[in-house]
Amino acid sequence: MKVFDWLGRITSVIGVTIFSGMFLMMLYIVFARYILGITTDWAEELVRYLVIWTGCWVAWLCIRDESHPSFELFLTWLSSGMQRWFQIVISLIGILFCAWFCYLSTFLVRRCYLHSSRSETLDWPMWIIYSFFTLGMVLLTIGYVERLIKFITAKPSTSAI
Amino acid sequence: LLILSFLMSVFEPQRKPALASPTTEKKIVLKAIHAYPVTHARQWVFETMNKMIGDATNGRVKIRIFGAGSLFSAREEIGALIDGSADISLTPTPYLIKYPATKPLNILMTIGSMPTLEALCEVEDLIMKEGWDEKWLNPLGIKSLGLLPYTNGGIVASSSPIRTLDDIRGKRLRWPVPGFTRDYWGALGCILVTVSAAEMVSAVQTGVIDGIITSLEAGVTTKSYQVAPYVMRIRGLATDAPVAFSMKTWKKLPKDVQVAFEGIMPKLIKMSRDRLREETKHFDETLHKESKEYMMWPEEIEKEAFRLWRPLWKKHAQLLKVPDEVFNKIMEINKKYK
Amino acid sequence: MAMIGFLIMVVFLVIGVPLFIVMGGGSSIVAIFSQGSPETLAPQIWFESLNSFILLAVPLFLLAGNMMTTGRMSRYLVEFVDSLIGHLPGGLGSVAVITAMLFAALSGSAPATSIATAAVLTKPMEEAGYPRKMILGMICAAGTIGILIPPSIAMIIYSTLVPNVGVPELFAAGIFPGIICGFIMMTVTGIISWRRGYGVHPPAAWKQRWQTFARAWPILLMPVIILGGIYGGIFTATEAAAVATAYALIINFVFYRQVDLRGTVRVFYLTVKQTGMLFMLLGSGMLLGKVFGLIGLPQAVVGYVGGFDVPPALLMFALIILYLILGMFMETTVMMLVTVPIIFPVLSVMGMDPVHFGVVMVVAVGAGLATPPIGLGLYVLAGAMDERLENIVSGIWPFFLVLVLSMIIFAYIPQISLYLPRLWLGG
Ligand code: NA
Ligand code: NA
Repeated sequence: MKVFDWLGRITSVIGVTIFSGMFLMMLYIVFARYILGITTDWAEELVRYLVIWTGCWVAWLCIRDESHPSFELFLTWLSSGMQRWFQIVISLIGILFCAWFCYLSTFLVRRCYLHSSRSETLDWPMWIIYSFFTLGMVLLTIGYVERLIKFITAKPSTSAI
Repeated sequence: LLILSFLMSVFEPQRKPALASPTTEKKIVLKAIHAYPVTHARQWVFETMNKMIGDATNGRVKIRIFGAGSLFSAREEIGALIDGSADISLTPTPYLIKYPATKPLNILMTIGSMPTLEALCEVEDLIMKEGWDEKWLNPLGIKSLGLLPYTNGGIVASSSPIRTLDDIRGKRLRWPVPGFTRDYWGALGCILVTVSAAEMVSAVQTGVIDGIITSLEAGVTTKSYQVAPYVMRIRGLATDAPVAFSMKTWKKLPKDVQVAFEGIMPKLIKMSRDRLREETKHFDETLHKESKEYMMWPEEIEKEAFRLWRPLWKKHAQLLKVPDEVFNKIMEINKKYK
Repeated sequence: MAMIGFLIMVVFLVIGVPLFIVMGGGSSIVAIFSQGSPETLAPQIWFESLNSFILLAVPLFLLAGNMMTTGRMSRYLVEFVDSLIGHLPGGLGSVAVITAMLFAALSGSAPATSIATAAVLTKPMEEAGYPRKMILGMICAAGTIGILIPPSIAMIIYSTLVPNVGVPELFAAGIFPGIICGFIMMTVTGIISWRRGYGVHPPAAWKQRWQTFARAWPILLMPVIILGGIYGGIFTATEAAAVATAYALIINFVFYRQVDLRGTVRVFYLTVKQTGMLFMLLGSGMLLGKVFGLIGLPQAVVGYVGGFDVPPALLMFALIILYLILGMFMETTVMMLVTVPIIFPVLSVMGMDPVHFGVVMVVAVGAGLATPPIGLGLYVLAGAMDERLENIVSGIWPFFLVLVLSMIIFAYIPQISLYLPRLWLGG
């Protein structure tokens, strides 16, 4: 599973970098308006996209440490053998859903590309901005594939969450 | 979630006929979207349209209104129409700028509306007569049924008096719409800040900004005069919106329904304009009564504004790829109302 | 077909599929297969509902909170509070509530408030004779204060769900309720500890008080900067979050000279991950809310409730009960995302102030954090303190009653919530 660890590390480095950029940009906005007295509409748009990109980009890491909230009461009633089967089913649902959503979002990217729609102030192509969402869904799918492998290969006795 | 899904199942049977798709059932339900409060003229336009089209088609066509951004925000409306997620919108032209094909339509936002609401109406008539709106919107997959004015002009509401050019310079003002139209007030020396409509009034109250540039309507409905009591009526911001139909939906409509829609438009446009004139009078009176100071912008500011803005109009018209022919004709109308 | 979509949601939910998939998948199925919406509808709404300047405050306040409530800073704060009031009846119990209130003013999230308080106070309180289940139960309930006293992520999310309600109004509205809730909780803690005779240490010398203050004042200044900045017109609520984080970094590096780059990066990483989790939840939840609108659920509920002609006071009570029940089974953010789009139209028809309802709502979701079987506050605290869930739950009930009592007080005396917003923001 080295590949996944490697991907995880890259994702977190990039995620933290984008997020830090967003944070600095935010400070710049306050400074620019209050001290320099200049208009910062482009920065205001940029920070919005930066933070959504961060969210989409790193969401799959939460699969790896099981921090996406879910309703766990039912699972705790089951034996650990049954739990493992349910975890496999959940991972499969995760793969299906995220892949489906990735597919759906390509329509959005495609539409923006075809009509060459641009963002409001930065005037960036919207298809690039939206493709981070597609990318996030790809990563989430990968995350659930890793989770599936983890539960399939795990010994039944150690598979409890 | 259990409770909710139960509710869903209870409500489902009643909804079924109303929600069937336009092509298969006799009854046609169209989704109309706008992102303004339900007190806004836009809601009225859709309600009126619903009534008129219902009468014209013997109740066969119904319009379901999703107001207050309950389905899409203003900047997403056009995208939703292209895809067919929604059927009709009255998207303000500044939000069209995201799509290059529609850019020339913003000419109205830039120069068409400058003198008065009446000038705007005349420009709209010209554009509709020449079919320019169709020409600019069709490549996007959007059918234009005509243009409607959607605000009754703008105001600058400030926490301190604005009477001279010097009062304006360096003021931090909230600018309402995206796009380069902010250059106009930037040219006068204001610092323009993007603040969401929800935070607009509290931002003035706390002093994050000194005032707001907004529509007459928003100035009245948000009661911004309570925190920004010095109100100056300005030329401009009397902008318009195409009555935009998703081409996907339009093509599926039976021929007679299409004709019915086209048939009600002249009357709807006239009614909206009359209503807007009435509303403008009413809003003017309200602001007169409620604000500490309410005036038309002084001549000093007007002169300087037009001096600075004229070259910008030309520049922006080129940026927007507005054909020279269109630009010149609109400038003629503009001059007439000066 | 909508029925099948919601059935799938329920099945997914029960077997433990992550909530963002339950909500996102369920609503996409309903939208596409039942409403015939095009493919782009779901991803577009998901992305665009996150595309808001106000929502930026969520990760930034998380970051500021994470920074202030981990490491040495939290200990300095407790030492100061303890030296001030540790000798009074109720002793450490009161110290814990006050500490939670101070953490509440630093952090925007309830679990973060609880964990920060528990991390520094569990051990000294145990040594003073408090049973562990009471400590953790109380601290878990006190987390609610964390989302009442500004900054508050729950309020930021609420403001994006309700038209024309700004974050500054909501923040101002939460201050008195947060303080009142804290004082009721302190009274209850005080009575319990006084009757059971838990240890109280002798009053600290003024010199010691001064020493602890000299160490803690930069932390105590942070809420002043946040609120002063927002209401003094220097920055918006969103920007306040960035400034708060910068401030936390500066005092950490300059004042406390804890130049721990690795630790700082770790806090960033933790926040980034929480952001990923929250944004998936928010995007899918808002999508679900809009799909509810698409199929006409809010209008149906308005018609249904309107048909009964219930007086507003009774409706409010019914809502409190509903929220307490929902709170047992739903996660905070999800509960707001799912219910506000449906319930808000009913309330606006009845003429209820959205800011006032926001406060009641926040206490309600806060109480939901502390009730089994689904209570994020419980899980997080149990995880962090390595304690069994049942033990925390068994100690929580007196404090849960405090939350219910506060909710009723705030629901029927709107002036408590509305006084400060009116004073500071007019209207
Ligand atoms: Na807080
Ligand atoms: Na709960």
